[in-house]
Amino acid sequence: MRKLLATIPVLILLVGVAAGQGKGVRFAAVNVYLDSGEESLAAYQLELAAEVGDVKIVGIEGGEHAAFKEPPYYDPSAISRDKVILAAFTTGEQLPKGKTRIARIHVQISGDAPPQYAVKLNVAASTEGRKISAKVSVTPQGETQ
Amino acid sequence: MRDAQNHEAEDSQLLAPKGLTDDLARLLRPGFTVPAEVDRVVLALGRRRIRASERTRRVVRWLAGAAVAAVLLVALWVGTSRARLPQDIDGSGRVDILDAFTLARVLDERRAVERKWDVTGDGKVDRADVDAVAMSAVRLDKGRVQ
Repeated sequence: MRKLLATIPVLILLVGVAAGQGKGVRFAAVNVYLDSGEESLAAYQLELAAEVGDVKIVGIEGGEHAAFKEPPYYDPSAISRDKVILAAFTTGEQLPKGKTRIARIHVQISGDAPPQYAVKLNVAASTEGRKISAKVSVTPQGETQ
Repeated sequence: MRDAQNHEAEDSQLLAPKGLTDDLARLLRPGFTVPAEVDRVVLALGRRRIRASERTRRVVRWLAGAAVAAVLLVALWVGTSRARLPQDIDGSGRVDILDAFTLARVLDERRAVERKWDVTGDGKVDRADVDAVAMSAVRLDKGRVQ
């Protein structure tokens, strides 16, 4: 009986260590791409939300093309939440065509569930403000602890 | 077929004897007479009930009409109030980045601006209004992201 009682703290310790070895808080980036095909992309607005996983947005940066280098418009309250509306436009003449990264979202992930993101394009437009069809996609980047 | 017609003809000529009809009439006659006053009251009650049900029907019809009118008014109000948003620069009925883009192009091309585009209310239409419109477009509390 005494031996049995002595093993209880050891068991509690082992369970605690095992729990600690689960995925803790880590950080990752999510690249957001728009493919406007042959059309020049001058403006876009999209919605992104983490549908699975414990995700918090911690930062938002612009895209790869000079026209969208600046961070897009977003609601500051999206920081520390799991959803955001991104929008940007440029009145410049040098515009991207085809697939281009328009933003990068930095996220904090907690828990074991791998995050899954849903993204929806509200609108994309050409330089004259004409609506164009485009495909939006997201690609998560590697996680760091 | 002919037989059936013959029977019909015979039936129509069948008459009960007068004595029998008199006896039956006497037997089935009520043992009292309804006073004219009671008759009038019963008739008045009947008419009142009919009028009441007609009134109910009219009220129901009126309420249905009022409900339809209210729905139409609300739809109209929602439609016009959305179009009335000062941030809705392009008049599409919704505020999105295209409104900010449209305003930015107007300013870049030095075209005439409208006073209602002074979203910030500082008395001028400039880049601050473009930013304000864009920020309206990305606001999360609009319930756009589920």
